[in-house]
Amino acid sequence: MNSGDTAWILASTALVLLMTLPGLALFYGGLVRSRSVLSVMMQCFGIAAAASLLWLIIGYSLSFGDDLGGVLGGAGKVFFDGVNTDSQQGTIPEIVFAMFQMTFAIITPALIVGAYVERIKFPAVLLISAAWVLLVYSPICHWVWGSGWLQEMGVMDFAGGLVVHLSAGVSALVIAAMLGRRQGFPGQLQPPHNPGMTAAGAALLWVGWFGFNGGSQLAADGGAGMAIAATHIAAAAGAASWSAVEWLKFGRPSLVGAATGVIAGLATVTPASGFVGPAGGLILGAVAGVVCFFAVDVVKERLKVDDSLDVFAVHGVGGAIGVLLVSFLAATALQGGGVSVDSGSMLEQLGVQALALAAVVGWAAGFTFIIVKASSVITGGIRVDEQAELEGLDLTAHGERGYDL
Amino acid sequence: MAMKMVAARIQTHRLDPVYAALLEVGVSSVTAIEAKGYGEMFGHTEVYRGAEYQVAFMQLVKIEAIVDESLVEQTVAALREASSTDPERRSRVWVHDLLLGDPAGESS
Repeated sequence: MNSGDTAWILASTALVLLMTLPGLALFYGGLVRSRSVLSVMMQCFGIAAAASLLWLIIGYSLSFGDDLGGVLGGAGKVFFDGVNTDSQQGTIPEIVFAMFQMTFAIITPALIVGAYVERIKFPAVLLISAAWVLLVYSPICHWVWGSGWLQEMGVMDFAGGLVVHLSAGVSALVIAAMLGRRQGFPGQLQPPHNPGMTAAGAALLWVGWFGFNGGSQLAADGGAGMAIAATHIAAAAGAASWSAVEWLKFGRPSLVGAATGVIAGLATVTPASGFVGPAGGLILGAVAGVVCFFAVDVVKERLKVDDSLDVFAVHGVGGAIGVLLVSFLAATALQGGGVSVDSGSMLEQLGVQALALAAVVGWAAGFTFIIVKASSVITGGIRVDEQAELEGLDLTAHGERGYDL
Repeated sequence: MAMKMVAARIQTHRLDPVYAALLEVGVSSVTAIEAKGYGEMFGHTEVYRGAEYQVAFMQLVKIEAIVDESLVEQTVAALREASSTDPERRSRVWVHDLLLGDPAGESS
């Protein structure tokens, strides 16, 4: 047991929880209409509570229990069975590891909130999120981090490009397509009601990400420091490149754009963070800001899918870019630290990464489709009626108002 | 004594200059109402994440000044001039006749 490592993961656990509450709640809350701001925050809180309980009950066991055929963890760790103050995971107490991982199981379904804001029934949010944590998140987490088949193949996903961002992004796109567009999409929507709130949320996410990626080293060492360096540089590069595109295209850089570029850069560097140096972070962030900007347009204007807060364009596309590019950027020539691909060829690693990407996309899309269909039967359709959507979910779903104006 | 109401919609940041201008004329009764409106210089386009949003109703201030008939012309000119630094973008100003609610004229 290493007390330095333990202290850092304890702190990282708090940092990652901060990303969802209040980071993501503020980030998303500012982007919706004032009449649905509380519903978005409530969805984040509801998911945080539900995912935490499910993680304790069985999610942790499905992810990190004894391996069953490379696909799923066994039931040996149900209710954190055997996870006590003396049991260890590497150099830290397993209870610390389990809690750190719990905060990942919270933020991943919470990211999907951005797909369905302003028009979904709250019971459907809880049902879909709960089923999703068990049927999509836990298996993929096991494949990649819990001695599952992808980990055995040598897939590189340091902090969750596949497990968190790609899985959430793909599922968001599926849910948004099945749920349908908001009334008035795309021409007559109201703009984000509070960009300052969104920027505050993005700032908290940025800081919290140090725990997300730095903590994924599971040690307080140089690797954690390098992961934080790459992470921070990617965030800065994402803000710069997204803003540059806006500046060229529209003549002005916006705060919402810069904040979104930060998140795109962070999501993109996530799978690579512990394998690349600051230069890798810079490249990933810069690419993310440009590609994700245009991905927003492709999803909303070409595909006409109302993934309202661009979960797929930012997290799905960003995660995929990071998962693929890490094959090259982990090279020691680019200051890649720790694990690098020098032993095998880069193309061989790229093949593994692409296979993992396809597997995660297929699993997440397929099970999300089934989960939404089943939830729809249980809740009598997952969408609120037209009148409730117009009046806003704050009053109709929760009986509260965000602002007394 | 016949009273009139001089009214205009102004941009929110012009409230202080308008107040100063009306004070100089000697207007003693002014109401400033926070409102939303469109038309003339109000309404524009905002861009978020590359998508354009038409924002028709913009925050503005409706000014209502109650003045004696003899001050109407000066008040209209002052209000108009203070509504914008750009002569092309000045607010339109209306003058309303007022029917006093207290016929006995106790308050005048």
